[in-house]
Amino acid sequence: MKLDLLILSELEKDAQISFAKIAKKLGTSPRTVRMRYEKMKKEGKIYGSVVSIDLSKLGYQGKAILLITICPNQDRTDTISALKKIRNVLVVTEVIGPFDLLAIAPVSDLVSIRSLINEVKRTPNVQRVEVACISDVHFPLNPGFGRVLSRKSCELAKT
Amino acid sequence: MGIKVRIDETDEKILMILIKDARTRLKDIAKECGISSVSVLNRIKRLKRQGTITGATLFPNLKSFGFQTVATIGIETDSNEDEISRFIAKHTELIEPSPSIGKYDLTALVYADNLEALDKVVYEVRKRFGVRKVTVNVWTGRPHMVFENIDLNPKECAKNET
Repeated sequence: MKLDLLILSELEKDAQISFAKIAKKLGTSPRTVRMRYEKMKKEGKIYGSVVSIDLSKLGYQGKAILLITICPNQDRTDTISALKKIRNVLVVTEVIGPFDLLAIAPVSDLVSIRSLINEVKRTPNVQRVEVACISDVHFPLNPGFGRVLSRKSCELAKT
Repeated sequence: MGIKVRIDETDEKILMILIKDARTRLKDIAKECGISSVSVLNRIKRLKRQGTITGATLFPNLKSFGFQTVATIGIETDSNEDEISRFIAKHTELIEPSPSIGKYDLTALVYADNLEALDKVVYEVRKRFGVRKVTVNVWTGRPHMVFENIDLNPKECAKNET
């Protein structure tokens, strides 16, 4: 378990690091690291790894956080699957709070924000859409994500 | 913020494969794109040099880290957003809060061990900076990540119209 966490900690810093390098750092064999990695993947502790991209290089200016309210007494399942099909929508999640669903999509200009909102409004059972735009252009998430998780798994490994 | 770079169809293909799995072997990428492993490597090197590829992120189940709660918080304030950003980035498990336009003045993704810990973070922000309103939306269920939806070549509609 402790070794698993230390492996995760290294992978959170750089998901493309070779198993040999991790093994050297942790004083174990690359084969063990590979086996542990595959095992964690199988057990659902790891979902996968995604390349990080600076979206501004592709022409994006930021991200839109879409805060969605569903019509009362309506099922969310259809709405979620429709939202997942919209171009550029990267994350869809159910939330508890003033809103029902939250979606995140990168935006390149004002026109793209408008067409995105219109498309979300046309999704089944959507009653209302509110938007907050941020200038963050990191894909898939802010690099702070990996840093926090790497630190946390180190802490957990110590206990 | 960087300046837009030019990428071709093969670059897009490579990026899309790496979005689906950042640990894909070079030879498998080469096979799918119909070019040699060396050219794939050269292209990836170029994309890194340009700053388009900045690294790779591992997506784990947050529960295996003891994080039971993930939330997006929105802050409405009259005071300096940058100052609040700095404070919360330093003192909490907030993932780099960013000033925002629209519904909130500041938005951030928060990880917390549990709801109580989350409540503490929100309370701290409220107390220290006298913000007008803090809205919390707690993520429930497994979030749907559909990163392959990204358009790697967004058209510059605005420019074409003017």
